[in-house]
Amino acid sequence: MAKPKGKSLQQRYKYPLPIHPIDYLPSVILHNPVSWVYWAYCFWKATNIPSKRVHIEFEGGVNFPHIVVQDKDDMKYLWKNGFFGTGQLSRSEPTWLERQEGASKERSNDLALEKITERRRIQRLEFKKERVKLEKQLLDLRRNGGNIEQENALLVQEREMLRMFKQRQQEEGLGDNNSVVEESMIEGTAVDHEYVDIESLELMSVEATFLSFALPILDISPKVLLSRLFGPSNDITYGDIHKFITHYVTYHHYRSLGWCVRSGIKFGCDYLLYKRGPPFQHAEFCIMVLDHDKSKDYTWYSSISRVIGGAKKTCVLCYVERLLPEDQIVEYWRTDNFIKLFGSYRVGEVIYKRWIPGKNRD
Amino acid sequence: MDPCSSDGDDRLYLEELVEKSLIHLQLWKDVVVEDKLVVWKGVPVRLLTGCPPHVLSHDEKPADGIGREYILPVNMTQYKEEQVTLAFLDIVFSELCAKDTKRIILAIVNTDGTVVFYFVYNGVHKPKRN
Amino acid sequence: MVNKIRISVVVQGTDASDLVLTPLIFKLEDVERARKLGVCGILAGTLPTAAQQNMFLSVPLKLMAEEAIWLFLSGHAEVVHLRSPTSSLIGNLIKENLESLQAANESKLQESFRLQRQFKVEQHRLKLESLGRLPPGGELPHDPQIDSLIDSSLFVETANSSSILSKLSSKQQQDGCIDAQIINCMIANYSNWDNYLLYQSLRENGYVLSPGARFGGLYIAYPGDPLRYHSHITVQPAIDYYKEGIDLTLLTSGARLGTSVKKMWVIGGVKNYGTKQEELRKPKAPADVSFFSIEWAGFG
Repeated sequence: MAKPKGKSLQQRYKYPLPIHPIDYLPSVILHNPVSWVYWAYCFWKATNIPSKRVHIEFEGGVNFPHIVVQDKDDMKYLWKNGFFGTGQLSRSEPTWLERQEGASKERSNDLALEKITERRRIQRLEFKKERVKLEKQLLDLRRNGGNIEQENALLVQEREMLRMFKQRQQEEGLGDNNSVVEESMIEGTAVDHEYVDIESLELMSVEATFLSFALPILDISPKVLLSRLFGPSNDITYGDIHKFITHYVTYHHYRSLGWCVRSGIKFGCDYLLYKRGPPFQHAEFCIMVLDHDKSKDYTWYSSISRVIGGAKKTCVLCYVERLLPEDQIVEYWRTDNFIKLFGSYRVGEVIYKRWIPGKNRD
Repeated sequence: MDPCSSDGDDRLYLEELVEKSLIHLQLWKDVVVEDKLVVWKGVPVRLLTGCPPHVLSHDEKPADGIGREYILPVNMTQYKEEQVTLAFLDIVFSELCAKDTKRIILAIVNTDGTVVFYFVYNGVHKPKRN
Repeated sequence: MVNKIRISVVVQGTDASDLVLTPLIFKLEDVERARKLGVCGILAGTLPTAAQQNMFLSVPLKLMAEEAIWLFLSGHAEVVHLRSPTSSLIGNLIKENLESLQAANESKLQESFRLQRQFKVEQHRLKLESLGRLPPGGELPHDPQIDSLIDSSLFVETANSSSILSKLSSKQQQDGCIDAQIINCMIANYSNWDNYLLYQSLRENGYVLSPGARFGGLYIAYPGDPLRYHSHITVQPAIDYYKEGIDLTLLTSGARLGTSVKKMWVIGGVKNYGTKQEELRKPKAPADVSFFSIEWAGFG
């Protein structure tokens, strides 16, 4: 995967969250009391509260509101400071505009993830086409009554040819097929080589809640945000909010322990945990949020653990337990006492792994 | 707010998002929102159609070229469930698709704004050749 | 008339609520016939003192409840009742018939040894003949060393079917337990009748089904005998056709798994709510089942 060198990554994604430590303090010179005073003054004056709040919009209808950020700088800011949100036209980081511009400049050494994936897919497709061709030969031979030796000879030949084809593809690297991708990418989007950015950054409701309730980043209060998502708090029943609360509690739990938490939908789970973030390494853990007092049938566990195991990740079952009665929780919701509300849950984790006797001897 | 129109807003946004994703991320051609619509549980549902940039499954005979595909956008949210029931899929096949359509593409819009695509075949069907 | 396949159902528990019914086939010929009908089950027999890996398991064949019900409803099988604990029943039978069983076993064993010896002596003779140490058709000289070598290489054969089990079943039959009752009990005990209807519908379309837990499904379906074909299909538990939305998270992970193991993720449900369970229980009742097959589209 083509990515910037480790050091520049460290530089670019310096902060795990949008709140930074106070990092511009003058040095204290021990024999100069004036510097002490100045330091104290700076410390007192300094603040790490962001100067400007990020503006969000709600799109779509009332039932399935989508929370989006449209300002270019805000999108970048949220991505750089903890990897919040997903570009609607990208795999994660909103890079659509860069990709368009990159395509027209044909900068081939700095590849966006999307292009690499697309190229690999095209290569695979070509490989399969080749294979189909060869298999047709075999079929023809069979139809014309070829004997076993002829078939075997053809099979050996076929395997060799496929191997060479693959090798050739690898040698060409990402060479030849580029032009196909890039031409088609340019087509229909470029208007006299000027691009209008049509991509927004979308936030999951748990992300938005975290950036509003836990950190003062969004220009919306938790109360307003949650009433936009779930309707007026007077009509709320516990059933309406239970699923959201357990998911938020889990999200908050891992965020506050320093993990980068992102949607796990591609792996059929609730969240993925990254040690630092997607540009640094693959996610290690897949989180399933569950009610602590409910169990699922065995098929469910076996199916998710096969998917997650197949992606070489570890499956974590995250059991969320409510410590207060339902009506108390609803009462906290109505009175906007979110600190008490989210604090009334406990999270317990279990790692679930398929155990294969033959492969797990050590 | 009128609940019916807000459901309509949900659908419109969904259609727009999936259309955008097909054209600008997946590089499909001739993507259109079809006119035909069916009302399901008070929600107006329409399909999109379009042409993928390359053949999607190899069982299709090369003579067919790249056919138009039907796309059904649905919402996946973590906290509410949109009702993609079996009855709904049967209605989509019978009311919104040409006769004897074998498959549609389900476009699932996630809460994080990404869209994932799945083939849905009517009946029991063998997996595509890879 | 051809005899029906005999399914022995082991009943454990006392109460209707905690009843566990395990359908088993003990006779090798019955196992074969069931397999020809597309009911494979799983071999589960082993010796209590030498538990075996699954590859070497033997009779009885353990059936899924669906398989037993299907065999019975389609008229291929009869069902007998083995009340548990089976071991004490068998224990009593053995006690009653101790001497005759012992005698029968002993004579069987000696007969088997005799045949093996005969075979081995002949083999030895042929070998010497081919080496030219013995004229063709010549007699083997008596050699006690060879006799003892042959004796030490004899095998104790294990019978393919039990000699006491037939007695046990007929005894139970006399107790007045009718197979329809057991099958009714099994049906009543069966958690979701719709699952059975999915099973039945797939069987009618020529699929052979096995338990699918290892592949993240309720069943896996083969287009023919599992030893001849790969499975292409994982079938999910039935959902309510009208009311239950497909779990999209499950769909995503199922289709993802499906791509890596080349299996279609199939979900189905039963239409026509009005149809009574009684009606559907009849063999070949037209169950109106709707299936959809789902896989990753290859992009996005």
